[in-house]
Parts: sequence; C-alpha cells; structure tokens
Amino acid sequence: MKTTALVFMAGAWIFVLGLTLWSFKRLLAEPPEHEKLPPPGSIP
Amino acid sequence: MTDTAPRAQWGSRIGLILAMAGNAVGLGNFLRFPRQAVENGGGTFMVPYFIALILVGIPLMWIEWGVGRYGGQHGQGSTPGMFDALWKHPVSKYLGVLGLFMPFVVLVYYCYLESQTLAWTVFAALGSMRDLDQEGMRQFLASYQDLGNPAFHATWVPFFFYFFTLAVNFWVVSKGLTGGIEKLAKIGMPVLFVFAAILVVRVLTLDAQPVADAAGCAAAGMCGPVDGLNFMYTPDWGALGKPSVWLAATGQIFFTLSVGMGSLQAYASYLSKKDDIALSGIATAATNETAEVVLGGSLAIPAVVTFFGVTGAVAIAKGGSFDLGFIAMPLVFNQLPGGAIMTALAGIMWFGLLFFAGITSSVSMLTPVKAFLEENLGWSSRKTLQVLFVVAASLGLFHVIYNAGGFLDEWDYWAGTFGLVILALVETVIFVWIFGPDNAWRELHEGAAIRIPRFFKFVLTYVTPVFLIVMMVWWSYIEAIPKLMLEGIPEEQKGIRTASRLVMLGILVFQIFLIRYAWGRKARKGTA
Repeated sequence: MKTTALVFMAGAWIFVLGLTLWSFKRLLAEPPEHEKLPPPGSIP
Repeated sequence: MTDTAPRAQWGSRIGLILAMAGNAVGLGNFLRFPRQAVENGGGTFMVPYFIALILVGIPLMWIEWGVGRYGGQHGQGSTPGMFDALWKHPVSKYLGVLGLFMPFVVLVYYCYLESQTLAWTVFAALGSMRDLDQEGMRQFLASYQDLGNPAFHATWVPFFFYFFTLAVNFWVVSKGLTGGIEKLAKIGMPVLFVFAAILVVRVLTLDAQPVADAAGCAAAGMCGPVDGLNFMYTPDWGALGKPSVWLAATGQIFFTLSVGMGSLQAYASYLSKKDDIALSGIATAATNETAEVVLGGSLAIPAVVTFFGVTGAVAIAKGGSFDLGFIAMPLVFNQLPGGAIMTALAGIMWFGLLFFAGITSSVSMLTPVKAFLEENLGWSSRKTLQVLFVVAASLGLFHVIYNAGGFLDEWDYWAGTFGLVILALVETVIFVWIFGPDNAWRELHEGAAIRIPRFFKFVLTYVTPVFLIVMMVWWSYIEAIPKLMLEGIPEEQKGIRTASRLVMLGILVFQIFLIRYAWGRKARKGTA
C-alpha cells in the first residue's frame, strides 16, 4: 500500500475508532440519572 | 396516548445510543459515502469531510439533542412544538413544519429503497442473480424499478416488498419506544456490524484479479483490494481547492448523521432533564463514523476495484450508488471463490446489512409525525398509526409506479437533500441565536457526563450557522436553481417530476394546516 494512502487511512480509522471507544467507555462508566439507584434509606 | 398522558422514556442508555446510531447509520454509509469519496478525489475528500464533521456535524448533533430534550420537557416530540417552546413567536411553530414534512416524505420513498434491499436479500438467497453478467444485472435492476419492463420481475413483486417493508416499520413503531424501536436497534445494529465486519475481512483478503484496464493498480494487468484502498485514500491535492469537493463532503456529513431531518430531535424528546446529551451526541456521531469510514469505506470500492479495476470502478460509481450496490456488488459476489453458497452468503450479508441500516433509520422517520398527532391532536397511538399507514402506503404507490420517471428523485432532492440544510439552519438560529448562546450552552450541559470544550461555544454560535448559510447559498446557486428549472431533464420526465413536486407541496400545505388547527384546538382548550 502507498505510504500516503496508509497514513490517511490510519489517521481516519484511529480518529473514528478512538472517538467511538472513548465515548462508549465514558458512557458505560457512569449510569444515567434515571438508572441510578436511590440513596440508601430514601425508600421507606 | 392523549394530550396529557405521561411521555414514554428510553429503557436504557445503551438502547438509546444504539437507536440514535441506528437512526444515523443508513444506506448512505455503505452506498453514498464510497461513491462520494471516489468522485471527489479519494483522500482529499476526507480532509473537508472531517472538518465538516467537527464544525457542522457534531455541533448539529448537540443542537438536535438539545432541541429535542428541551421540547420533550414541554411535552413535545416534534419540531413545531419544540420551536414554539424555544421561541414564543407566532411563526416559530410553522417553521417547525419542516421537521414533520421531511421525515414523513423521506419515510415514504426510503421504505421503497429499503424494500429493494429486502428484495435483493431474498434474490441473493434464491440465487436469482447467479448467472447474470453486467448487462443482465442492469436489466435485473431496471426490471424491478420500471413496472413496464417485466423481463425479470412480475409487476406485483415491487408492490409486495414495498407494502411488506412499510408494514414491518409500522409494526416496530407500534410496539413502542422500548419494546419496538429500542429492541430493533439492539438486534439490528449488532447484526449490521457483524455482517459488515465479515464482508470487510472477506473483501480485504481477496486475491488480485486480472482486469481489462489495470491503470492505477500496482501490478501489471492485475488489481486487488489494496489498489482500491490506495485509490480511496490517496489525496489529489488539486481537488482540495474545488468548492464542489467541500460541498460534497459537507453534504455527506448531513446525510450520514441524519441531521436536519427532525428524527433525532424526536428521539431526544424522550430523555429526562438529567440525562446526558453532550457525550451521547458524540457517541452517536462516532458510531456512525465507524460504520461509514471503517466499514463502508472498506467494502464496495476495494471489492469493485479488484474485479473491475480503478477505471471500471469510477465508471460504475459515476452511474450512481445503486449501480455500485445493486449491480457491481452482486457481480463481485458471483466471482467469489466458494461457488454458489459463498455467493449467496455474501449477497445475503450485503443486502441484509443494507436492510438493517435502512430500517433502523426509517422507523425514526415515523416518530415525529406520530408524536405530533398524538400530542397535539390527542389521537391514540393505534389511530395515528392506522391513518399514517394508509397515507404512507397510498403515497408510496407513486414511487413504485413512477420511479423510472423520476418521481422519487424529486422527493429525494428537495426533501431528503436540500430540505435538510434549511431545517438545520432554522433550528441552529432558533436554538443558539434566539434561545440564546448562554441558554443553549447551559441546556447542553444539563446532566452532561463531560464538559464540551469551550471552543465549541464559538463554533455553535458563529461557525456552524455561517457554514450552513454559505452552503445553502452555494448549493442553491450551482445546483438547486438548475434543478428547479428542470434543466437537463428529458422531456418525457418533466410531467411526472412536476406532478411529484405538486404532491410534495400538497403534503407541506396540509401539514401547515394541521399545525394551525392543532394550536387553535389547544387555544380553545386553554393548553397552548
């Protein structure tokens, strides 16, 4: 494969895959507000 | 659901992201993107493409999530009500008609295209295209799209697949947000990615093939998938100065992210006030870009270059996205080692992934109009879907019958292309300029899992709107005005195309009337 094409392709793939993995990692690390359990003792 | 019923909510965050990404990932990721990249300088196209993603695509994604969630807090799942909540002005709700008009019009013809992907999945399984050469494959497609050409398909076949596809879409939406749309996304998106990944591996491990014209390929008289990737990613720096490349790249960002349609806002309206939209918007855009750049960019072009050479691939791409996906790809599958079974499997996976990409998008297009009728006219979900099905099926008949005459092309251009830029501009002006940059910025950070870099406040306030204005003016000048005047259209198509526009205009006017009626009704009930 030509070097220029390889650099372009690698750059594009790293950018989109990196952004996808980073965003999903952050999303899955913290549950959304309505999926969080209520504080202990708050349910009678 | 009635005017006062509580709004539905997404079942889980991952379900929401998959549904949003399913909305964005569509036929354009696998058919339109490779064609646009090839036609606009390969690697050079990717430079304005990524610039447009950052300056227009992701900001618009945030705007649409923000507009949608804000509207949802005011009990509105469609843009007339959302704009009315953001901007208390008599005209705002009427500007929102675009977010009803576009998704519904696109739904009608998109289901026709989607039904073709389903039909071709069945044809691939049955081996119907196994012995066809290029001309045979062209006739196979033409016979389906033109009811007057019964060479390969009986007249009832396109009707059957259209109504079946439309019915499946309505059935999914009738099951509700979590039981229908979210479940479809949780099944459809992984299937789509797995099919695409398997095909990418198969395509990239193809042996080089002898081709008639091997210009642009590394080996003499032979082309392989690497030549396709070289072609796709080698920059033509001269093309970077061409306005048309920037326009094509920005246009592709619009289509691929489904921004300017009204459907992302509708999905976002089912979020709660404390749900994140900043990170979720990025995750949606990034998932779509993975499907487009990594998978979509590694399928059609490398495969077609391997069997037809670079010159042949360019010629096919110039014929349109359908030539690439429905003529060239089945021809490639016919030549795969492994015989009839491998040909059938590859065909099922290719057209199957296109079908899943299509249906996860089309169900989202039904949501805004459904929400409008239920929330503003007090219709039940059952009644709404029954009425919309009858209307969509009736309008869809025009596409099945008159597709060869250019009926669909008119809807695709005015509603599915040009209209997106108009709605994007209108919502940006309302959300950022009228609602106010500070309010918009605060709204985006409500419940946010990340802080959006402050640089984007400047982008949202100035760069994105200016980019959209320039794009709209430019596009109008070089493309929309000649199209409006039917320049270059064969004489025999002008009647059908004019009728097509009148039908669209009729839908638009009727929806404006509906908005007027709905707000009048609310005023009488004292709920406006």
